[in-house]
Amino acid sequence: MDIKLGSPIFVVKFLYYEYSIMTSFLLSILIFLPCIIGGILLFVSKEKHHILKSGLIVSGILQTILSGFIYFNFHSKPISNFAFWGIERFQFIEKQDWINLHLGNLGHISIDYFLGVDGLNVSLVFLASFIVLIGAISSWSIEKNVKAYVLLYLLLSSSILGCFLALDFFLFYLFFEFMLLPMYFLIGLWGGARSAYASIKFFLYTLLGSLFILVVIIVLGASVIEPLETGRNLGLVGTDIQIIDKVQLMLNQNLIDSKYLVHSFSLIDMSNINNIIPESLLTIIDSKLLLGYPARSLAFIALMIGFMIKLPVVPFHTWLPDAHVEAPTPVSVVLAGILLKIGGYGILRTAYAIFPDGAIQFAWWIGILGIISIIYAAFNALAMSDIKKMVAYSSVSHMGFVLLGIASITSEGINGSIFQMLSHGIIAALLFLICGVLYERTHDRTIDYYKGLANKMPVYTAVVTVAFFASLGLPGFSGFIGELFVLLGAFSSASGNQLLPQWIAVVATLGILIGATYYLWTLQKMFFGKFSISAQLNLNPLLNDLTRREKIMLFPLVLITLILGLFPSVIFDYTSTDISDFSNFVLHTGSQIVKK
Amino acid sequence: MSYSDYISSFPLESIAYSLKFFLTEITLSIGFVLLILSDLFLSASNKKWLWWQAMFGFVIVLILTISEHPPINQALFFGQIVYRASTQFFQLFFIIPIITVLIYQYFRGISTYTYTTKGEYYSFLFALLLGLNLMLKSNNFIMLFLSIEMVSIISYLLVAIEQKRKNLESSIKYLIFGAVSSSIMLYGISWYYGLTGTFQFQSLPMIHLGVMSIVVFFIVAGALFKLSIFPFHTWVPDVYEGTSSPILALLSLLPKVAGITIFCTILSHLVPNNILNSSEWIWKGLLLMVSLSILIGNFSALLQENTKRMLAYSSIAHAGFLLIAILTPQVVIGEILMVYLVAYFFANTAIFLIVDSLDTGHDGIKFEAYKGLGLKKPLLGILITIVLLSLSGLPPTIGFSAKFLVFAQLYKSYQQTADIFLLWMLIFIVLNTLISLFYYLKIPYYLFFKNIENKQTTEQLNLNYWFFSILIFPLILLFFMPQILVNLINFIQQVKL
Repeated sequence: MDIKLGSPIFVVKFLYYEYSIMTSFLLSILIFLPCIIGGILLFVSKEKHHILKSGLIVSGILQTILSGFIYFNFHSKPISNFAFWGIERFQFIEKQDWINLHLGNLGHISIDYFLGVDGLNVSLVFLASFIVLIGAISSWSIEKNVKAYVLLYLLLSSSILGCFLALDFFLFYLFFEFMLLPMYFLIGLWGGARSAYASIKFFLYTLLGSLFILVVIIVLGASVIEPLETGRNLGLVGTDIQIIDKVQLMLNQNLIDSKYLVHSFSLIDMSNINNIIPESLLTIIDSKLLLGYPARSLAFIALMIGFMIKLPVVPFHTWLPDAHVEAPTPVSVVLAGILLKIGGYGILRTAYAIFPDGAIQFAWWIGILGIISIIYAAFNALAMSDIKKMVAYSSVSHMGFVLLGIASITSEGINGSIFQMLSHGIIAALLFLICGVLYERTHDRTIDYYKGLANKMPVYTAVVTVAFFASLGLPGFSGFIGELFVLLGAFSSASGNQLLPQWIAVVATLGILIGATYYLWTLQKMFFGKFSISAQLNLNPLLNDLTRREKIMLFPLVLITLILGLFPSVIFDYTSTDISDFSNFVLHTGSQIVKK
Repeated sequence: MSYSDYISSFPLESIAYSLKFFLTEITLSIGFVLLILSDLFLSASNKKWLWWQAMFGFVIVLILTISEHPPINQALFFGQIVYRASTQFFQLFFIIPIITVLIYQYFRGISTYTYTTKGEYYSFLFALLLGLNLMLKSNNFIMLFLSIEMVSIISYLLVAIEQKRKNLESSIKYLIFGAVSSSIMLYGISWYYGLTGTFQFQSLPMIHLGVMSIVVFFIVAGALFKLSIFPFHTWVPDVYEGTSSPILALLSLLPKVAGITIFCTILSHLVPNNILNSSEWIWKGLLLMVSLSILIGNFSALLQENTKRMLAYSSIAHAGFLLIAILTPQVVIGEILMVYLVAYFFANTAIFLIVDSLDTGHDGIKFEAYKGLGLKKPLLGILITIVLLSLSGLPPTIGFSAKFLVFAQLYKSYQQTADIFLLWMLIFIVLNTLISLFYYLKIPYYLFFKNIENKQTTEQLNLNYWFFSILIFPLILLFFMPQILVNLINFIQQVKL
């Protein structure tokens, strides 16, 4: 049948064709959309603030729509093979050769442009796009150097999404590092009085962490091969699966000359223990010692430190309160809402998937760090006089739950961790916006200066109350589900895989109590009772209630924490199969390696 | 008996045969003389033609270098000179920065500088290139020493060419340090002659380790001085501070690269086979010096208030990185070194030329002078930031790829030798990257985070954005498409083989 140009069938076929092309590049479009919009905005005069800021919001809306499309078209497939975390789990895959270097006798280096989503990242991608949108709306109040701000913010959102979607460790690292730059300028240029100090501290802390990661990437690159390319180098014939099997067999019998090896940086190749070169440092056959310690454990620890600085976990957390206090509100929202989650996601995607043995061996220590974060940061929050600093410490405390859930390596625990990341992403955004609302009116955030704000700002008080209760884990809000599942995971780990002792779970439960204390105390001090503000606030501020723009930002967030709290299945239905499989994979592979 | 062996038994034929592959050097010598002569005959108003003459000369040299097909690894001029596989690459690497700087000076305005209307400046450049080429190809200690001295003397003259008090002081300092290291090298060469009875490069006989170390260390001292490796680094900050920036863009790069090549040549000849096994002590001593250079360079750079001094110390650290790229398992000039050099060329040339453009006379090279410039001139701020990112080795710049490859190579050599020292070295230089970030970030900090004070400076600025954008764009392009660079390097090397 010949189809005439312009006939309805042609149009349908054409649209379908366009659609299929678009879906095959969907993730790239998602990542680079802000860059493209930034490129267009480059030509807009810097006086036209409204166009620039609208561009930012349009970019956020488009990203949210795209990632929503990805989220609702994601179907986790039940695959009962726990030997490795294979490519068949991923959807919307894009893979292109990027860098190929021939190193003579040392073999080849192959770095790919490799993107994809599975149950671990698909919900976080949606969260990231959404928080970027909320941050964009909140950026409407920025007045200084708007054009530079908009461009940096767009770069930041590109690299955040790239980080969540990259499946090649090199690519991941690239986005992970690149994120620092726009963040450095966003905090430093649009921040408060000590913003230069805070931004440099943020930069150097995170860079220190990423250098640990870089070393591990180099070691991994030298230790892991890409079986298919290696097989083609050797001239093997057959289907892909046959070649891969044969190469892995040959590799483990030391039959391949090093000059034919193709070294891979793909996270999927790395998470398959059959791809590890037997005589390399990270071999699983006989544990090699490095400076007197097993090399695999050291690599695991280095990766963990790198991501725990980002998360942040208590001994490495000191950059966070400074950065938050100095950052402008939208940047705080993005920082707490998404950037911290990259730490948790990175731990799962890299450290746990590549070194499941380390995950099992160090479960106890990671669990301990988790509860130290929960308790210590909660006590700190209790002592803070600046409401934004209090919220920052509460973030650290909540990230402790994420770490605890991950440490348990149970289906409930890791599901809970990811849920907690999503929920905290929403709630932290809400809390920092709330701080921003107050700061815009009075330019002071000291808790003690305010009393009885409920009389002047009733809607605001209602939102604050909801946000505080959501954050302290009241049933019905999303925070409750996340913490509940994490604690369930910790308890079931004590009785099931026995990685964490019971008392860790008990102590973590106490952390919730402290959280309740500082939130309720603040609520009572600032909002209830008779209205008065301190004379320290030199200008006599107009304490008007929420404006329309603020409502547009705050109400959807409140709604989402309620929806997530009442119907957690909107997340679990899509991702829990994959995440449970992942925890089984880590436990299964890890205990196999540990036995050897 | 091959043709070349055959004709080398006839001296005159041999010279005639060798001369065929000596065209670039002959052209350079002619250029040197012609520039001096035409300076004599040109009237003061026509001095700007000197630039065109020099440019013409260098373009001819560039064409000759690209088009020549010399025999590889065959001794010419009775064993004085030899073409190696990498020679072509480095010859191109010497010419291109010179042409870049000349183009920059043309755009900035030839009358801006006191020396660009003088014939000797251009003839010095010809002589510098001649010396560098000979250094690259030398196959014999006499040739090597002569070419090193040629490069050194031209360098002293170029430092002093502005003839201000500061320049002369720098030049004298440079001269004294250079003379000392030359004499140390000469002393080593005399030991070598005593041990082997020849000046040709060949492996040392198996002798007492102490004697061997003395010979090796004394001889490489000359190369290490050019590379500004600890303990031969003390001249660097003073000389940098007192030298005109465009000249510095050349002097901070070219002698260093030539130093690297002769370092490789000498070491791979003197201590052949596997340098790791036969003379671990020598090799570890060198690695220690390299580590100290990185450490001292980085920590001293932290304290600087003056851009040029900061860059001087950072260049000491960079020289350390360069040496690490070749000191691993066998001393080879590999792709990794070339990638690093290309990355360094773009970043280094760009930063010195930008410093020159921002230098408006009074205190123009203090960090203070950059206050708020980035906010006033965002494009300038972005360009400088990209260059500094590349120098400090952060993505998305080719500087990151280069550092990544150096780290990877160091790790691979650890894997091959299982020597824990190399692993410590890796950790050490990775942490040094963090230290280097402190001082590289200082400039963007002044550019963007401080408020502008000096209104006049910004208005005087006359920056050629096109020129700098073209120079800086490869830093990002090559990161995303390193294939271009790798293919180019392979192409240059393979065509000649």
